Amino acid sequence: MMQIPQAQAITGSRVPAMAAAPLTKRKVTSTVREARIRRVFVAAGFFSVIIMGLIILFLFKEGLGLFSTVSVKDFLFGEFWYPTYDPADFGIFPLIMGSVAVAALSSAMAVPLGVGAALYLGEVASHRTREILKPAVELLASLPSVVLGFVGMVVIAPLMQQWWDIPTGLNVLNASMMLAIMAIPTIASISEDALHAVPRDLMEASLALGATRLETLTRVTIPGAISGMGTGVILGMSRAMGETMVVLMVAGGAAQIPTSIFDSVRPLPATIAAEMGETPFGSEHYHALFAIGIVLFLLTLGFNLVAAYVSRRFQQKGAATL
Amino acid sequence: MSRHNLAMRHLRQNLAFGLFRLIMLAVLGALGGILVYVFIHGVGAISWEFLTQPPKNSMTAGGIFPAIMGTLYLTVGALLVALPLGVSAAIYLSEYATEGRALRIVRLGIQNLAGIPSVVFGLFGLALFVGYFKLGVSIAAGSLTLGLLILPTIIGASEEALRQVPGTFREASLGLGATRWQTIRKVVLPAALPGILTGSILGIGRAAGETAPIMFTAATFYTMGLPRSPLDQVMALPYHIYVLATAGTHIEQTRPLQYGTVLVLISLVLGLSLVAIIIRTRMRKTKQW
Amino acid sequence: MVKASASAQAPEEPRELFRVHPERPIIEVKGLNFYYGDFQALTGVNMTVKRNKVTALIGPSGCGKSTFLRLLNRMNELIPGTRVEGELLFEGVNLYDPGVDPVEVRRRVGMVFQKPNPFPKTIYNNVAYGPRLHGLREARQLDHMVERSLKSAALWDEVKDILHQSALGLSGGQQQRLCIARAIAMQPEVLLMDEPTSALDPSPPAASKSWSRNSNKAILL
Repeated sequence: MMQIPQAQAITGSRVPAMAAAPLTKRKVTSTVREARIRRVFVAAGFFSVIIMGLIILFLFKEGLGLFSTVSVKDFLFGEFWYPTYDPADFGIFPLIMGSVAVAALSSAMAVPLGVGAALYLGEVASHRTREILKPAVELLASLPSVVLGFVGMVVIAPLMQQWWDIPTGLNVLNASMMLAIMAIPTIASISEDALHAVPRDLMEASLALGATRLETLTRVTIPGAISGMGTGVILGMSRAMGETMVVLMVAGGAAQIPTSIFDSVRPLPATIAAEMGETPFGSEHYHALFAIGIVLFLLTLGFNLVAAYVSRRFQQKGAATL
Repeated sequence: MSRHNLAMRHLRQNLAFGLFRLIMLAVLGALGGILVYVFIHGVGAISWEFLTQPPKNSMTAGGIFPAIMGTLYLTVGALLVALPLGVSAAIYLSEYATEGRALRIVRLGIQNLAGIPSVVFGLFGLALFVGYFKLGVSIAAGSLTLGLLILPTIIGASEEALRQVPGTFREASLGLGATRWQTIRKVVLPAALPGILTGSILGIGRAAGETAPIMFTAATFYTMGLPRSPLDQVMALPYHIYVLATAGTHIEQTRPLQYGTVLVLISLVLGLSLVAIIIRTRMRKTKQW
Repeated sequence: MVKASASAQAPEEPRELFRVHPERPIIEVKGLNFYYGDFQALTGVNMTVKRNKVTALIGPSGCGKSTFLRLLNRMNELIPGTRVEGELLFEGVNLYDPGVDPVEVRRRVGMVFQKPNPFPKTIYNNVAYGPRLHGLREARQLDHMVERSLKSAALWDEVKDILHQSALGLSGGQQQRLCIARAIAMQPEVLLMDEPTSALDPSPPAASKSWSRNSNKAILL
């Protein structure tokens, strides 16, 4: 198993070396040189694919070790996560449910707000307002997640605890709100791009037929942009699923299946981040955390493949041509 | 088709558009509120000493200088990894690739790389760079991990910049007898430079703000001085915030320092993004082709 | 047939704003200036358009024909930074008066664009788009409207069996006639056509003559 990455790593590095070194004293013709340069760039292009392969390889190499002692079924559906007990329990079902709860609730908040903001930017705002607000929204998308985690933990959690008289403000609701704030700029920005990509002449055709701007929006623009908007929404959800710092700091950290939005949970990324630091290299617990990494990787890969499929369908549509 | 009908249609439009406007205001309000709140609480902590001194009295006093420098090392390192690779990959995508299976595989690879959660990058960095390459928990391991994380950002921005260089530029150069590579190096790359720069700045901003990928590969709670080699551990701003807020022994006492550090990190990341956005806007306005 | 339905409609639609005076030209333009930002695109345009006639605008490319046509149904105001001066009277009312609703203007002044721009919907839904907007819901009436409009645009025979297929599958010329049918289905009082001939097999005046002949309408080319 270990030979595959080495082989890939070697081909990856040998190609640039070949192009850089003058091979013989014979004058190298420009065609030959051009072909070599080309190969360097092709190799650079494939580097991302190689990294993907390496990520899969190392996740599985470190994670599959767990399954010599724990069955896949007990791992995925076991209801108890006590990795440091003796004997330890490695059931991640509560962690998966924690991730699902937080991702679902944050999407329920972020999707309408993100799409609403996109519709405002794309269709309501004047040209001038849009020129200012669109970059502002993009700017806010770059807010570091640790900052939102900090705000949720230090500002929002005590407020929640006071208002509703609940045992802790670090819970599903708080984490979902912070994740939603993080996802909204992404959803809004991608959705607005999709609205913007709908051909102008289709919108003009609709308006020229006496449609109001709202009617044009719901009957022509949104149907034309729906796949692009769908891509934005899925990517936003995928990000919420994989985001670490917010759920690490704000979700409360209790490995239980949530029954209310005021319950504390311990989503998958939070578990990895919280426990990896205190785990002996190569222990069963260490392997279990990599196995969680595999689950997380596959979940987000699934989201991304769906997003890619949706956006490919989007590209096939388009304006009519002569 | 009566006028009443038309009035209804306008009313419906006004209601819907009003709702969209309200949503936008709420979103901006929430995000702006966070920024203002952090600013008000953090600005008091900012001083020359805070920015230039190491922490003192078991983190309850002093500054964050080592964390600022650590973040600087990590992001510069990440850029050294990602920029050459990313620009080369973008050159492949925009100048050499032809439609087909190879290109589809490459695009799929980049897309999925962009979607991998940052904590998984952290696991990967831990397994490959820290463990397998025996770099240990170090600037080198953290920079490599962050570099791979921002690779898709750099590729995306660079490819867009290269594609915006008009085909006539290339034809003119090729028509004068230049080779493909000469054309790319002398004509296409210079024209695409501002766009590539924008992408790099966005990448730096992203790398500076990430916490999860460096938690197990580079960052540490406290160092005596500045790192002396790429194989040393470092303090970093985002990790410093996380540790002070969650794991310190004097969480309440260090609150002002936490706000101060958050403010420094936000200013750094948003400042970089702002610069990138301004460059991009300027570029679009003054473009001569 | 056309006449019958037009007169049947008249009572249920009180034309408060645009009152028809048969002796008056349907459109009068007086001292019209138009600006894109600082650039003046049209200077001092004066003209009248008679009802029940086909009026053609001719001139070299780039002289402002399209810009002028787009002013007649207020499409130019969708472009930021544009400005209109002078009077543009439609049935005696200045189209750019504050009280005038651009949506109603565009309902009454139909437009066919230079490039065919069918919606990515079925042929049927393209033609039915306008009538549906204005409240026509009943299937039989819609069917009738679609058939009549397609016949007026000389497209019916070619598409009657594929009404529920995508309009994007049609040839360029067919698409343009579909756009004409789509505009006719609104029963506008003026139909603006922006050089649609380049993509047309039978010429548009011929195609829509049967529609214009008996009604209170004008066509601008």
